[in-house]
Amino acid sequence: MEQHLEIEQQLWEYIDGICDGADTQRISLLITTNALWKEKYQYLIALHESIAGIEGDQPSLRFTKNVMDAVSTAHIVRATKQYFNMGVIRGIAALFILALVAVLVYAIALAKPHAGNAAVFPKLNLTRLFSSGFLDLIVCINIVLGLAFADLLLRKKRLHPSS
Amino acid sequence: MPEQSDDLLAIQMTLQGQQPAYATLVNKYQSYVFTLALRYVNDREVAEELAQDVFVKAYRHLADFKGNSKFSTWLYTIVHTTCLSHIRKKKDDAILLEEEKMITISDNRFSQNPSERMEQKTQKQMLKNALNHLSAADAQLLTLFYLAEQSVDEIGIILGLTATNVKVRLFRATQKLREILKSRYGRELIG
Repeated sequence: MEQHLEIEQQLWEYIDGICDGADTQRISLLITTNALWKEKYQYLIALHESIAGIEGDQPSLRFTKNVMDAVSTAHIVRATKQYFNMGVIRGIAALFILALVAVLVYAIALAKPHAGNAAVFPKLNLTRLFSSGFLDLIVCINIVLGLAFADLLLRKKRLHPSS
Repeated sequence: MPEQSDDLLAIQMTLQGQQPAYATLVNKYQSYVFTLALRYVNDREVAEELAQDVFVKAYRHLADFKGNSKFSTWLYTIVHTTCLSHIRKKKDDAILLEEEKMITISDNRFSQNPSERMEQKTQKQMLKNALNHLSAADAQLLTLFYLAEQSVDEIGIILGLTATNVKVRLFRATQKLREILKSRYGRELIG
């Protein structure tokens, strides 16, 4: 039984034209020389031709007119890629990479001080930079931006609930 | 590929503002889109509405078609998402969707009263009816391969499968179709 299924699977792939060159030649030979393969091939090719001959269902005669009426008031949206300015994206990426490289270099330089070669890198006083006042300001700005963005999103969803 | 270049020409003309050029695409693919939609919802009226939605969406987003694949492949993705959205909204009890699986509707949905059986004389009609008894996923696969003439690789891209998986599923779908044909119509159809 399994052998029959295996034969049929190979024959289907052969008939559908989706097996590779070597298999195609092998199966062609089997069809001409092997009675079982030939019988199955004849059955399956008839079925394949029937399936391939199926026509799709047709919508109503007014279908094209209905579609064209609907698109007459529609606008073609700009291609998605045009929404993104690649220069800006590359700039942001470059900023992050530079910042990472700078932090890495600074960390390595501080971690490996050379006796004869005084490190030129000054030690940054980060506590002064990240004072509570400065942090509060950053957090406030982020909260305002987050709220503005949430408002934009919800407004858009309210106006276009389907999207 | 002259067919692909015809489609690209019609798309370019449409993008340049010649709306009537879009009608050629609609005429060419309406059967394809409608048939696929019918596989999802099994209701001609609803399928026609969905097919219409598909073409309107395709028109609106025509600028996003890059030409890397066949237009029919791109169109299929719109059919798929549109039909799934509809099904999820309507919770059609004929077809229940579970992620990527679609469950077959029961045989009773397709009326098999004696008068209809008498009418099912032609081979094509028998095959169409047999297709209707396949699971939506299998019917869809056969439609994509035989009706839309998508290659195995293209179907793989559409369905998110490897080419090998597509081949196996195609084989299994045709096996099931054969079993349906044998059980419902005997061997009169083939051979």
